[in-house]
Amino acid sequence: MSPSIARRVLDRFRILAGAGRPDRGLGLAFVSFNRGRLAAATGGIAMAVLVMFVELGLLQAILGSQSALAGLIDGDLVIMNSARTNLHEWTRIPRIRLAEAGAVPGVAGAMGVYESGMLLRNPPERRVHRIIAFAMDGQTQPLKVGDPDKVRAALSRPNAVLFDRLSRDIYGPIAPGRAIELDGRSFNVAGFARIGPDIVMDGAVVLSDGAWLSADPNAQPVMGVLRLEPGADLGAVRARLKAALPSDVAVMTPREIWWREIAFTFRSVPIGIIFGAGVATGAFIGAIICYQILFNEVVDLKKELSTLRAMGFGPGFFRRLILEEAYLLAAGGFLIGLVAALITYRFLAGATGLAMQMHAGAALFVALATGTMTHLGGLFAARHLGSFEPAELY
Amino acid sequence: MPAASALLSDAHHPSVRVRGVSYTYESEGGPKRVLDNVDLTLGRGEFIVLTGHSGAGKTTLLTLIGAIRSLQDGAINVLGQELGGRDTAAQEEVRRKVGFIFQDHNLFAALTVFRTLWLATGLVENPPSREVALEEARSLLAQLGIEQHLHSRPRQMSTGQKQRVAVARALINAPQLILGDEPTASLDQQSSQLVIGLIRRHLAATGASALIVTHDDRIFGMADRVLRLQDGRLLGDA
Repeated sequence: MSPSIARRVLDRFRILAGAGRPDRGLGLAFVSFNRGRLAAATGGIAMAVLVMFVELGLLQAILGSQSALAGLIDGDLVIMNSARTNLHEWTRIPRIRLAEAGAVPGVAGAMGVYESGMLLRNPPERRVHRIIAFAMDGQTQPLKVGDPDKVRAALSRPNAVLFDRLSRDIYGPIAPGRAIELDGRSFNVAGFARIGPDIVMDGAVVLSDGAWLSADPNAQPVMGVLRLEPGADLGAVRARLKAALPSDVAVMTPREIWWREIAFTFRSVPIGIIFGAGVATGAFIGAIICYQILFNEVVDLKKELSTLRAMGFGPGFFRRLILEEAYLLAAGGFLIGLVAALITYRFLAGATGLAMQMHAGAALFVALATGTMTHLGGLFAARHLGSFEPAELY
Repeated sequence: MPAASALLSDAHHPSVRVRGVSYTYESEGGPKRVLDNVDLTLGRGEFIVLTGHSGAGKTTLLTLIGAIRSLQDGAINVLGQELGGRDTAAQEEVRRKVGFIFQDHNLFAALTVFRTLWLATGLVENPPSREVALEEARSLLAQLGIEQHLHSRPRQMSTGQKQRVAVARALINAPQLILGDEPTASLDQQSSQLVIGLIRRHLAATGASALIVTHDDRIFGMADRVLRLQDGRLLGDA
């Protein structure tokens, strides 16, 4: 865009916004004049913004952590027990299903994933802690838990285990080369995996399926991850799998599992309602604060504003003035709240191990909610101007 | 372009014509009639001072003429517009053509003098640019002896200086009618003369009219007529 076009576009915006008109742009002068009130207003709105961000951040982190396993699946299709409603329920499938699925035309390979709770003891400590253990073939790696070569090399060693470096720090210092006990069996930490805790699980280890089956030769997988032959039609293979496998087996894509996990978490634990109520509370608090601040401003300036009414300024002017102030407070409060939220996310991520991340969508949502709440607060405050009778000046 | 006859008729039309206006306040002690069948004509270019003791109804009459208060009985014509039965928006339209000077300056503490004056120019249909308004404000303030306060805020000025800003605010749009309620009450003799002198010059230059309610007998001699209100009745020249 050439500078002259940019200037013309800018001028057009300025005209539309009323810039340069004598009755516009007063909001900044009023908002910035009383520093104490400005600090209280932006601080209050920032607090409401922070509440909304924390609620949304926790919601996203919980949903993200609960569905993280689905994101680790490295395959085209997954077979699971059809009675299994979510990934944190370990209803298993007979191991023979892996072979049956692998025999279906179009399937290149079927890899079992084992999962169970174990008790981990880090020998310097006497206490044991519950941990989730996954097992898989280190060569084919149906779960992406780290650098494939390192994972492959680590899991090929006897009695080797990968420790999830995102685990909460309740397990004590664990580093490669250290010996740990899982359900009383001794293992060597051969490296780290990246899985991440959730609201129930504090940490995880990954074993080779060989080590798992040597401990329990009858162990059954919680899922089978299928990779298709190059060029195979996913829908057709899926249909063949459904026809070939008994009805106790569900066939899903990793993406479908991810969505099902999100839906299940929303449904089973009503966190959507809980955190939604938190966000709404934050927005409500913000609207009340904005209203209270602007209402006080209107009351304090009653004589001055009544004078302007007596001079002939109409309701539109006053509404615009109050809303200008509301939007400025919203902008200031949002920016401060955003910075505070980023700091709080860092703290919460460290304290809980949950993946607290600022997403553009969440920031946009909170920005819109902030604008809406201050708009409503401003409109209610502006309504009081209608009750001012300029004749009362005399 | 308006017809010559219309212009002629407009020039001969008085700025304000009050006919049979009465006004009653409802109070705890029962209705109180403050204006009783008042007639008043303010001609073009005329400067009238309205005086009388407190509670005589001066300010009530001023607010009725200024379309700040709604009429109860009688008729008022301001700048060619009948005020009776007009809605709020129409009353605002009338008020925008009037330059009001209130007893209290009621200036916004957050706004500089220039911003206050520029804001007032927003009342006219085609407000001047910032640059034009700046020159106009500077000229007005110079005539009122407070040019140095163009960019001051009210807290940096004395009460009298603030009142002179309020006068400038009333005059910046070159109104055809000036209504003042004790505009010189907080001013010393010299400042009072400056203010009234400026109003007189404005009337002479534009043909506008002024109705000033005041107890300040220092300005009686500068008016074309001095009228007295007593117990709601207009008594004629004081």
